[in-house]
Amino acid sequence: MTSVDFSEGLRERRRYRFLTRIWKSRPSLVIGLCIFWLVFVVFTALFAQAIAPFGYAEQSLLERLNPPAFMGGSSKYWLGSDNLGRDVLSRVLYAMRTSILIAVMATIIGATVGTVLGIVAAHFRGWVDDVIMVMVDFQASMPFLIVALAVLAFFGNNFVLLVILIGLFGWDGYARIARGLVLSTNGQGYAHAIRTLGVHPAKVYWRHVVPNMMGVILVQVTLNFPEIILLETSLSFLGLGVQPPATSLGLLLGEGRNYLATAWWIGVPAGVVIFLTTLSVSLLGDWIRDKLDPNLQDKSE
Amino acid sequence: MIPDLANGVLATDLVQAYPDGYRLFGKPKMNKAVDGVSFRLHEGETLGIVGESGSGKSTLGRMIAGIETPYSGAVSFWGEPYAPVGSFLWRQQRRHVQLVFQNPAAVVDPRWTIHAQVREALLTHEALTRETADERTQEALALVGLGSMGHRLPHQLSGGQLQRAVIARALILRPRLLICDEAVSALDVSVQAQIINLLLDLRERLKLTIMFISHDLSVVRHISHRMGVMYHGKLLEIGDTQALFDAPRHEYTRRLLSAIPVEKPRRSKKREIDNSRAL
Repeated sequence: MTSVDFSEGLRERRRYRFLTRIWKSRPSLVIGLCIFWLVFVVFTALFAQAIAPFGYAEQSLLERLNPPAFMGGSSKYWLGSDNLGRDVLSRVLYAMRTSILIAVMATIIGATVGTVLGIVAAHFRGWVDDVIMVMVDFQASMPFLIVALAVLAFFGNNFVLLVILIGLFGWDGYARIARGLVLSTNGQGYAHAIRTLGVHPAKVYWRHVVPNMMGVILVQVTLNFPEIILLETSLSFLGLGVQPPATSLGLLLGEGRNYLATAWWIGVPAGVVIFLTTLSVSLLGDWIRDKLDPNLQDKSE
Repeated sequence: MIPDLANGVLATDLVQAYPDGYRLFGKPKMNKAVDGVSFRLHEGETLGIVGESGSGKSTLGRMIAGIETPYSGAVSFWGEPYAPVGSFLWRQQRRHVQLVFQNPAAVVDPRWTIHAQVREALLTHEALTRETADERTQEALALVGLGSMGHRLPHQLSGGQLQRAVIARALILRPRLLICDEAVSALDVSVQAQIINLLLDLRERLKLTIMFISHDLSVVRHISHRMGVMYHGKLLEIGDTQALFDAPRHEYTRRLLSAIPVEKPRRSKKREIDNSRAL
């Protein structure tokens, strides 16, 4: 009986090894595709105006609900047209611009606010630390979407508020990471040692601590970024995000929902873009994390 | 002999205590890491502090360096008290007392070249032109035998070389007092010897006052003029190194000294603690 157990375990291990080997032999391709896609997305976001065949609000009521060109529709509308006769391709391109802009700005806001608060908490300790950490716990335990909906409903909708609100999503992650790193380096590490040279703490943080934290923060950014895209998508889908006639990926998805059975091409392209973008950033984040972690680096060799 | 009261360090009844957790009612019990230590560190001398782990020797060193405020008692540093930790005056006082730590890799910024890190220490306290600062930095690195390695990053140096860089960073400010907290404990024996010889050499050249904290008795014997023995936060005895080795007065010191490994164990006197039975 023991021999059966043994071979079972061996086979299990061999299968596992097989899977890891596939994963190991492929990452350059997968990561390459991710990078390619993200470059494409940024390019499109920057040059939507030049690339898009139509304006995002350009309607033509006679050309409503045209199927995509490859499904026998008019070659004028590559990805078909929506219920108001607007070109879906153009709208997706413009939507990418809006969504990426919001996501990038919000990520920068969240990363900055979170990192600074984390450093402040770790530097001052005591009640400052307590207050910030309670805020972190509060943020982590509240369903953010509901808070965001309440704030947007109460203060009315505008683009700046939307960006700030989305930016505050996920700051707690940055704060926790920054706090932990600063605590460890303040205790026994180089920050403590450099401070005993007489260097002002602000300079120590700016010159030494923050640059050393960048790798970890960058990984957190790649983990946070897809969530932010999805949050913007959800808010727009619920009608409290980007307002028509402006468009975003979430808004497109929401509009397409009504026509999912009859004209699926209105919503699906936006969904595909969201899916590919979030997946790419996540995979890239994993890859960067593995690259930055010396322990994992050693194991793979 | 009239002791020189203005120069050197005078520690008076130093106590360091940490709260033993938090209590909802009443004050927490205080754990004393250092318990009433007084001594004098004369200018130009090297004082060794020995003791087992947890005996409070590192905490004592941190208080003497002024990076930790004593719970009670006072440190007089060349006749002056230390300013509150983190204050402007405190930062200025840093140039006069420098520390060398146990693990050199942990106390340098992994992203800066060692030249830049040594120069940063210099520029923190002196307004110099870039050229002068670079020159002085180069001198300091040459002094510790790293003249050609300034452009390297910390991970491109060995442990011993990195410890030399840390010593250069500490000494470029020409401090009055250098505190070595287990400065050679993490290095292997041949490198330890190099660092010790470097310190002895620099002590002569720069007229350094050194407080050398270590659990390694033979190293302390080699480097220090006087030495103190710590146990459970108390300074059991302090005195001339040779005298202390020849005639330890305290029972604990006697046991500690008998635990030093010797070259020919069979010929040595019977040890006070029977290690074989403990194992």
